[in-house]
Amino acid sequence: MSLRTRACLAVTAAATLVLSLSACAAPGDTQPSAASGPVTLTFWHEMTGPAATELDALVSQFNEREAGAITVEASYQGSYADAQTKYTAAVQSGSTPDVLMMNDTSTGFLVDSKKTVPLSSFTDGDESFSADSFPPIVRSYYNDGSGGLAAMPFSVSQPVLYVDRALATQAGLNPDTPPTTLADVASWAEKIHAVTGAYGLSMNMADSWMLEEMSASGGELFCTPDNGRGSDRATGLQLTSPTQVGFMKTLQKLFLDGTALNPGTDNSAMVSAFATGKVGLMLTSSGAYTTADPQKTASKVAAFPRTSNSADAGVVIGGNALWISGDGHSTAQQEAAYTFVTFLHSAEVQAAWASATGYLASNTDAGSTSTGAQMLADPNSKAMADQLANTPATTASAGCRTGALPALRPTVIAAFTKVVEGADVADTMRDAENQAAQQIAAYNQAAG
Amino acid sequence: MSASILPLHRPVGAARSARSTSSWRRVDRRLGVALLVPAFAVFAVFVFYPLGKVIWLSTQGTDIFGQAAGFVGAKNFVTLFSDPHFGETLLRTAVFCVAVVAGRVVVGLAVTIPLTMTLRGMPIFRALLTSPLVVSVSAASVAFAAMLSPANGFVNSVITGFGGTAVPWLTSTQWAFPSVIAVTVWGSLGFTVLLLLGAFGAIDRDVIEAAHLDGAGPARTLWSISLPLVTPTLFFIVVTGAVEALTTFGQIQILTGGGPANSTSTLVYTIYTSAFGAGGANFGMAAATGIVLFVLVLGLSLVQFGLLEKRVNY
Repeated sequence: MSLRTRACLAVTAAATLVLSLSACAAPGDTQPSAASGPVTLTFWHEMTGPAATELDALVSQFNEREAGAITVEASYQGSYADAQTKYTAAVQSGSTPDVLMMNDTSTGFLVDSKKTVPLSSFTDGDESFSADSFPPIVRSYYNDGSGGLAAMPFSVSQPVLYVDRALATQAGLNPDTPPTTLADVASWAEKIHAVTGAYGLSMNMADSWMLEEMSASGGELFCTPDNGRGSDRATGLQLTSPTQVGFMKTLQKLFLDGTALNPGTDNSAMVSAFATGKVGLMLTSSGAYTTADPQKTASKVAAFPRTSNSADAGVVIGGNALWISGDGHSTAQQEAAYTFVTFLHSAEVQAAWASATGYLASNTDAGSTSTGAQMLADPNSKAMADQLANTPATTASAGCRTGALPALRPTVIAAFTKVVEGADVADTMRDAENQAAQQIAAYNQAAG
Repeated sequence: MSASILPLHRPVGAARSARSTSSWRRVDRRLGVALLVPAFAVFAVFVFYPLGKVIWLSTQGTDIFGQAAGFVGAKNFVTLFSDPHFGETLLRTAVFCVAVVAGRVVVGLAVTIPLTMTLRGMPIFRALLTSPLVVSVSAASVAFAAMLSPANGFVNSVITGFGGTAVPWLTSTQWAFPSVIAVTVWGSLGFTVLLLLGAFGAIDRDVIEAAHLDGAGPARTLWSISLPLVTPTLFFIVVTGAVEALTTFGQIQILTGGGPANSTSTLVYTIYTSAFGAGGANFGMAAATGIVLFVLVLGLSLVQFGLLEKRVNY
């Protein structure tokens, strides 16, 4: 090799090394420059179908209102799980969106990520913002630990009980006085199954959401200590309290004798079975309403049943919230993001969103708008809105907060699947508690 | 006798001086290296680098964003092998592999042998029975998920229509695993039938006629003549089928999501859930599991080539 060739190679290698090192610099190392002039925001969401159409319309409406100042570029990122995966990749590459929509179960993960700015840091200086505009349970769910909000709640759902009017009536039951406890639900389900031959009951079995709800509706914590909402992080799950074992035994009986339909991981199969008159009672999200009962007359929507008489009993919310990114985003971008999420929280937008999607309005004034009032004229919609408004904000109804929650749900539902096939409730759920404790410990270690 | 595109050796006996030969060898060596560079570059980028990265990742702890968070040695492997569920997953993966390969061979032969007969309209049957070849795994899985749905599915509607009891095909730990195996075998049936049709079609008719003249019946001819002559194709089906079965993902994800109660979760599915599943991002564990899978596939391939290939008639 000639001297000239060697020199060329050395220069090339040095240049490559310098470029590589510069590319490896942590994104957080770069200080965001203060932006001036128009701001463009990236917004990641996970909505599809009519919800995506409505969301695009709302974004366009915002862009028109803020013409020349703020432009929001919304982009669909797949399922919530896909979005979380993409978000972790975006953190590594330093390209997080300005505003991220993320579902309820990822709240703990996003708080632990420390890549977002708590909403309260904006609302504290905003006199026009009222924390009372949220139902208490919504404010409680997204509490940032200091009384403020970690993120802007956007889509809110709650589990409810759907009653097929025709099947209930055929079984000699009055759908307008629906069951209020799980024991009554079991009794109704058995009667419907015995008289009509249809399945008496079905419920979400894709993950442990229903078990979390039944724990809360019995005033029980799902994770310990304090549902992960105290000063200490969650370190374990609670699955074997007498209330929990009690409701699981009730459910076990229904599944074992063929009264209940196990839809497996396919929630749409469950809703479809209910919509076609093959299931009498269904425990699932309020968001399934328009699919389960397109005409809004075939079903009676009732409050989620209680599993004990505890004063702490309530129902945990589902849905999603909007997170404002901090690291790598300028002050101007963050403030523009706050303007955008505040717009999406306004009473008019929430009423329109709830009306178009079936989610519950997270702004208490939404019912006063013409769209909201029109929606609440439907007794089923009103029943759902009432449950949200009346749910007491207790530690149990605030739900479990740990970044490990998405990983824990398959563990719990796997154990519960064994239960509905006949396994001993207490032993099986104790094994799940042990496995979950290991998963949470691994997560807490990773979270640092 | 093999033929290569480029001459690997110069003709023996070419009269050249010692100096000239040495010079040619140098040119040959350089040319050889130059010709290897593109292949090596592609392998380096798409095989060696990812493999090295996976080995490195398997020794790392990971933070909640999936980023390497420090050397942990063999801890990920220790965690993996001390988890009782991992043993179950390995066993399930082995059973899945054997069942899918056996199903592929047995069902493939059962479907193909009648198709080799020369009957009127046979090309239509051949086209129909090889048609699964053009259906993607995801599309087929979605269709089967709908057909096997517990309350409104076509299969259970037929069963209950005849007075039977609905079967929880995908929702019970008893039925889900066999259902996923059956769908996987169905998905590979088209390709298997196509390969076997080609293999049976390539058998020299004279050999079959000679067997018939010697008094061999159809069963004897099939067992002693036809099947031995298609063993190279069967060997190909077994080797590729085993690797495909070990890396099956799509139908598990769509049909059961690894459930119920992990009863359909195989090794490759656990890699996905560790790295990308709900609340996952544990790339260290995923990489360690990936290495276990790599060793298994490598070992299985070596065993197949070492043992099975000896029984193949080329």
